[in-house]
Amino acid sequence: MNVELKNITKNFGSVKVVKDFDLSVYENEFVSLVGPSGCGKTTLLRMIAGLERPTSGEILFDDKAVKDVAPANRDIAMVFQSYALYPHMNVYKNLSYSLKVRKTPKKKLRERVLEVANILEIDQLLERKPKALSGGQKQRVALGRAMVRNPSIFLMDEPLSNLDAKLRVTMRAELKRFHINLKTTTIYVTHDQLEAMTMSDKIAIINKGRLQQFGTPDEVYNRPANLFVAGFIGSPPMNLLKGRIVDEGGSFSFAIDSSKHNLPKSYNETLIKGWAGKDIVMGIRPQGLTLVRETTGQCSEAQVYTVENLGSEKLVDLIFGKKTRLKAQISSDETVRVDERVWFKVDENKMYLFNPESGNVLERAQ
Amino acid sequence: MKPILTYEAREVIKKAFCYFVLFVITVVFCFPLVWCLSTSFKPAKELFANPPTIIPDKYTLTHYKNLIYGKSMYYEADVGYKPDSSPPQHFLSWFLNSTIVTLGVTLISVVVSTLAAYSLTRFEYAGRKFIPYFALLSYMVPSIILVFPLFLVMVKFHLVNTLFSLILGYISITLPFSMWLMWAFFRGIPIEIEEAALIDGASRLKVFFQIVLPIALPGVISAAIFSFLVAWNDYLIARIFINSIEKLPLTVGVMHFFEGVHVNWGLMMASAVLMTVPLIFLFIFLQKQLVAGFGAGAVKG
Repeated sequence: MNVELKNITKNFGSVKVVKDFDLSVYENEFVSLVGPSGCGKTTLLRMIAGLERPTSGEILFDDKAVKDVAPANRDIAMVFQSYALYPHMNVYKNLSYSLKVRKTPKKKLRERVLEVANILEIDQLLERKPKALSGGQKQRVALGRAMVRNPSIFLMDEPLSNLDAKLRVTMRAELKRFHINLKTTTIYVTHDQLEAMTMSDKIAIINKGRLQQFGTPDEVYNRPANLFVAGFIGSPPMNLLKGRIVDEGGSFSFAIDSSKHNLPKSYNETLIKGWAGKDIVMGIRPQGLTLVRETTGQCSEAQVYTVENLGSEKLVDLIFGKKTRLKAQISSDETVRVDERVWFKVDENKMYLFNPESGNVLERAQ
Repeated sequence: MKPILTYEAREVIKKAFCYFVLFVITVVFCFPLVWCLSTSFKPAKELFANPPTIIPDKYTLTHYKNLIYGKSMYYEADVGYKPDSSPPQHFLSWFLNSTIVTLGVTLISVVVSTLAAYSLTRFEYAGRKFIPYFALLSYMVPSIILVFPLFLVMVKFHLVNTLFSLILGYISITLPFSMWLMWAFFRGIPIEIEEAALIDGASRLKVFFQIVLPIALPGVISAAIFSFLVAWNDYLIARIFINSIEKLPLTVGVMHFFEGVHVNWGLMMASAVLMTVPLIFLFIFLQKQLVAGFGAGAVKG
């Protein structure tokens, strides 16, 4: 089922939680709504579920407005962050409740519940009450309760956030696989950009109730639309440095303190010319920085603050200029010592420039 | 230095002391009940025997028979009563009155308090935050203060001397507290559980009856027991609202076994035993829920 949000606004009293929100989710897509706490992502999901009414705007399911359709009749299923299992019913009854209230014949109901329990490997737990289940098992039951009805849309509100780190990684892969098998349109809310990146077909990045960018994981990672997306997506996050564009007889570079860095060729010259002499924000991911021991021009001097060894690579925290901090990622066989003086070089093809006032990225030619 | 007593010996002494204290407390609390039970089976002669007997020498069921078959007492006061009336003749109707009033109070106060508390926790309207505390406050007013104003209200509505006036009177005491108790319970149920049921396809009423109510069952049972006890044990309101002998509930009715200087202890104790029996069964069956219910209410309130 296609889901379309048109110009959605939601106010709680005088607080504007969601502002002029547009989004299109197509059949079979897995779309994540991601953003920091309080950005309005859960409210959006609840409006799609019909648990909240938008203050203005329209929600369309397959081009039909659903404003006056009760949650029960929207053909959706929702997995809650707290799982919201019925505590007085055992797993079998939890799974079968939606079929029971829809008056499914007993035999069919039983078959369907057993089928789902089998897929989720919870068929041993059918007689247990929720309080006798572990976090991971509860999560599976919550998922099973959503699956049992074969809904047209899955809505998931941070379903993995109550699990421990290891289980979360496992369940992430499983959820992804379920989506590949079931092909049901899924809208997934999370504050964890890694979850969004790894599972989604498309990601909607939300901040303060506004859509910042909507695109595939590749798009939002490689072509962030603004400073917020640049800082939010990617781990460790992108380094953002304030500097200015200098014009040296027709060749432009990004200058910060006393050092200069080449700009990528792909920038439109007339666009850059307009920025000459003005403040600008340069973004570079830790993977786009290389550390060298001696200056070769186009380098900036910095001091090593800490080194985090992740095994497969190392993260180096640098202090540069007037206490500006940035992170560089280097391979694990390079060695740097704490407090050592080093020079960093910016890979110009991985450089982004942002308008410091609007926060928007300066578009590069393709 | 070696301790004088081994660890095991000290543990035994500790335990023995605990059991001794528990035993003393139990005896103090149970003695009146045991005495009452024993007296109800004693023949009239043995009632004041010296030394007193805890286990009667001779058993008799006379007192119970008199209560149930309504035998006339040896002394009939007749003041203000029907000429042929004698207190034991009314015992069964008192029992019935008490049962009707108690069940009525329990049913109405549970139904109304549950619905009211649910609306207080789930719907938005002015005063919803303040009402539960206010209700609790009204429960703290001693009932003697409420009784006379209530009586005047009953007079206005021409309800005096009816069982219905008793039901209304008791509800005015049980409803606020029951509502507060249920409110504390419903507050503890996450709204997501109800939302999950709504999405699963249940109607609002189904959500209430199939999801919310079963989860809040310990609270419902506590509220029911509380209402039951208030209605079953009350003396004050019934003493004032009812003025004909056949409409009395048990508590006030059995006071007629005090007739001037004559007190029929046998009848008195037999009726006390019969009055206690329903409560004993109630507590045996619902003890677990009662503890859970009052505990939950206390913590969350």
